[in-house]
Amino acid sequence: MTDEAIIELLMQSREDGIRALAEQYEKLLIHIVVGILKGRPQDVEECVNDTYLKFWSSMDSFDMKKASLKTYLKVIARNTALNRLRDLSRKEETELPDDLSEIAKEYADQSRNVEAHVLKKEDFGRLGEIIRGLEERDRELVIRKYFYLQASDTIARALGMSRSAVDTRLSRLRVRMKREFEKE
Amino acid sequence: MSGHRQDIELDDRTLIELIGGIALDLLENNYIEKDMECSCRSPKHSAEVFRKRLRSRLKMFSGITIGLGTLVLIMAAVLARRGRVVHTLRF
Repeated sequence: MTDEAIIELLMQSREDGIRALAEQYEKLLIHIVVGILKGRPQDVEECVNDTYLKFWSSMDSFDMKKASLKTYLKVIARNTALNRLRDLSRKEETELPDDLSEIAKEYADQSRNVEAHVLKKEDFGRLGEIIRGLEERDRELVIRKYFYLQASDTIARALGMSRSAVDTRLSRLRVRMKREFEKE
Repeated sequence: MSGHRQDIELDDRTLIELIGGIALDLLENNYIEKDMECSCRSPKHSAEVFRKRLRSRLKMFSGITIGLGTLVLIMAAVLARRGRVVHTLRF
């Protein structure tokens, strides 16, 4: 089914539309959410269902010229999983999965105490420009690490690099991005 | 403007927050899809890798065998010419 047909169906009937969304994209969304939350099947299922509902309730802002339906869903699923991770880390009685990636652990830990920065629209735009300016390989490293919260081992396997090469490259990229971000 | 940016510490957490809101076209990549394909085809993929390795080992082994065989024949011919193993070769 095409994305246009799914959107059409969503506008006609929420249930049928969401069923079509699930048929087309569920595997992908589960893969993204599991990558962030790891072994918490109930949370994974809830996050994926929340993704469909969030998309449905914000469908008015969906613009196919800006990005594909798949990309919209990927962003919603990823951000929903991150919110869940943050919520889980706030609940003291909840044990976080042991196999979380190092970056997800760090995110979950920091969210307990660190006050979030007030981020402005231009900050997102600035970082976007910086990432756009990176070479394809570096862009992939940054997006895998900071968008999908993949562990260095996973990135190393996917890109045929050693774990230490991934960490070293990412550390250099962080310095470069920071320098460019602070530039006027 | 730059003052605000300098206030922001571009640490891992901030990068995670910021990257979730960058222009969507930058996220049109298929990295995750690639990973899914790899994990789906991994048994087949590893069987193929195994076969390739086996083929190259066999080639190497047969190359060594042919090389050694040729060497033995050359040595036998040389020794036979010198008459040292004529007796052996006759029987």
